[in-house]
Amino acid sequence: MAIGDDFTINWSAKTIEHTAGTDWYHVNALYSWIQGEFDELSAMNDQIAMKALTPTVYQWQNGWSLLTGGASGNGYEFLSGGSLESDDNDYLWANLYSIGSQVGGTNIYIIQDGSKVTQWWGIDNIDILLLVKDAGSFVDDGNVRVFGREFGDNYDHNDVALSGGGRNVVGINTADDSNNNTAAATVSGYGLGWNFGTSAFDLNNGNGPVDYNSWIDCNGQYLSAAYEQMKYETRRGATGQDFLLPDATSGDGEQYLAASAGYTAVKTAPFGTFAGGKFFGARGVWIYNYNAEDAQNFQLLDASNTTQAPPNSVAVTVNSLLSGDRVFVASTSAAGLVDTEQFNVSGSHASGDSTLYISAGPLQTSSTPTTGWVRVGDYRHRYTSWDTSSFTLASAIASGSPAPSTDPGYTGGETGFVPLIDWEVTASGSTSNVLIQSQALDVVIRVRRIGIVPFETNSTVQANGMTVGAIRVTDTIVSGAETSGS
Amino acid sequence: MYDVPSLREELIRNESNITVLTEAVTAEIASKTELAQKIQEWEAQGEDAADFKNHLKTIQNNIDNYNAEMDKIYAYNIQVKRMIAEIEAIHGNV
Repeated sequence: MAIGDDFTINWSAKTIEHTAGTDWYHVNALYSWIQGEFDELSAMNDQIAMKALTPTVYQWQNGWSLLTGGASGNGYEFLSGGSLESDDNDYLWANLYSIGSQVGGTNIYIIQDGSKVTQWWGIDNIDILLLVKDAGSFVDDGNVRVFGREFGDNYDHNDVALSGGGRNVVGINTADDSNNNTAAATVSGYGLGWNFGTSAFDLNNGNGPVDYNSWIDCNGQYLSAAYEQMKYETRRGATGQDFLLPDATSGDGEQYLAASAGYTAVKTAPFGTFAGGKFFGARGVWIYNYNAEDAQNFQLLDASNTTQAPPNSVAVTVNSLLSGDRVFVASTSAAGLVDTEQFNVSGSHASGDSTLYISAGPLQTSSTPTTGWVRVGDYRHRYTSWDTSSFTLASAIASGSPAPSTDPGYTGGETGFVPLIDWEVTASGSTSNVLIQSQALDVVIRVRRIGIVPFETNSTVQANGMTVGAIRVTDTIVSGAETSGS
Repeated sequence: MYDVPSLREELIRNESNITVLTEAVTAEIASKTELAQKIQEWEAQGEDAADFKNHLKTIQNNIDNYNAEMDKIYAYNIQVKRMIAEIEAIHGNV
């Protein structure tokens, strides 16, 4: 179709109207057509409607204009390649064009002054005229943000200043995200929950509680799944969540950039990326309640932009055991002896107490298993959790089993320590415990049972844990002892 | 005849477009460096770095696209400068 078939000149109203068709035309084509119409003898008594200031900057003149509500739609929505300004300079349609490679079918969308511009353009790269000055005032100073965010792809966005009119470039590049292939309908049901605001969380990696700006409840999901829902809630058209927006208000996820207004956005995936089986959180994003198997499959950036890696949980294992063997593994002091002075009991304790309070001491995160046995002198107490000031005991302090049978009745100040393994095995094979390893830990390993020569060796718990095989040599001197499990 | 002040503004705007693209290239190069380092670390640990490598290809493609567009704008600016020179040759400094 020729442009003259789609646009119509209303000579008396001094307007150009889009009256038919869906083809797009370069602004220069509109200009050229109008100049052709105005050189007709019949038009010689009319003033020229349009002038070209540069090959890409055009302006209406002499009271002429292009209708924004033409019979076949807004005339500007069928133009590209240059800008157009009203005769009185009160209205400016700047030209915005994108370059880059997008996954086929990408619908680029534009946010102007916090609102999404209703799309009239097609898929993939765009070349459009956008109203940036309205009734004498620039809309958000002429700035817009352009997004390419199709679920399943790596996202992109960029800001453009359009107040100068003319032709303005924006780069939008997307690519297939090989970690984002699950159907949207499935991902939408993963049940993640979001919160925004500064709060401190402790990854138990020795750095203590540090600030984050957004915390995400992963609802027990694997991080690969959580990642996909993070993408889902920030894709084009995502309006299901109320997220923090760059202007510090809250709104639709399709506009979300970062956990705090001043942070550099991770363009490909605003809550964090996923690669090589690991989640790499964007700055200020805290995740919790993820599948336990992913305990080490992530890396975060706290609010100060410092990398926070999860602690290294490792197993300490003794094998080649028989049922009934007593196994003891404990950290050693510099002299190579069992380190029995890791803390002091704080305050008095009596029968019935189920919390053992300790004073601040040398208790090390890296040498204290999450659960196990704590010793105060010869008394052993099984604990289910601990922090730097107390142990939560599995059973209240009482006399009786395990030995000794007297009520400990601590008065405070008694020294204590936490072995890594401290029990009798009930099945042949191996026994182990788990601890968070952050530095090499020297330990002594003992396996004892009457009838075998007491086994003792020293070793070190490294970043990948420690495994030691017990050597069970029959004690030929002792008599009447059981040397094998039963 | 084009408007010389507007053509001069066009030159400035195109310089601005080039700045935008240069910044984009700089950002992509920074990502590329970071990614290359990550690939090295990942492979040193015996991990599969395929995701990172794919992303690296994408980044290189982006850089190529930006550079190609910059070349176009540079070429266009040369044309605009010629237009200004031609107009001024006829009409003097405008």
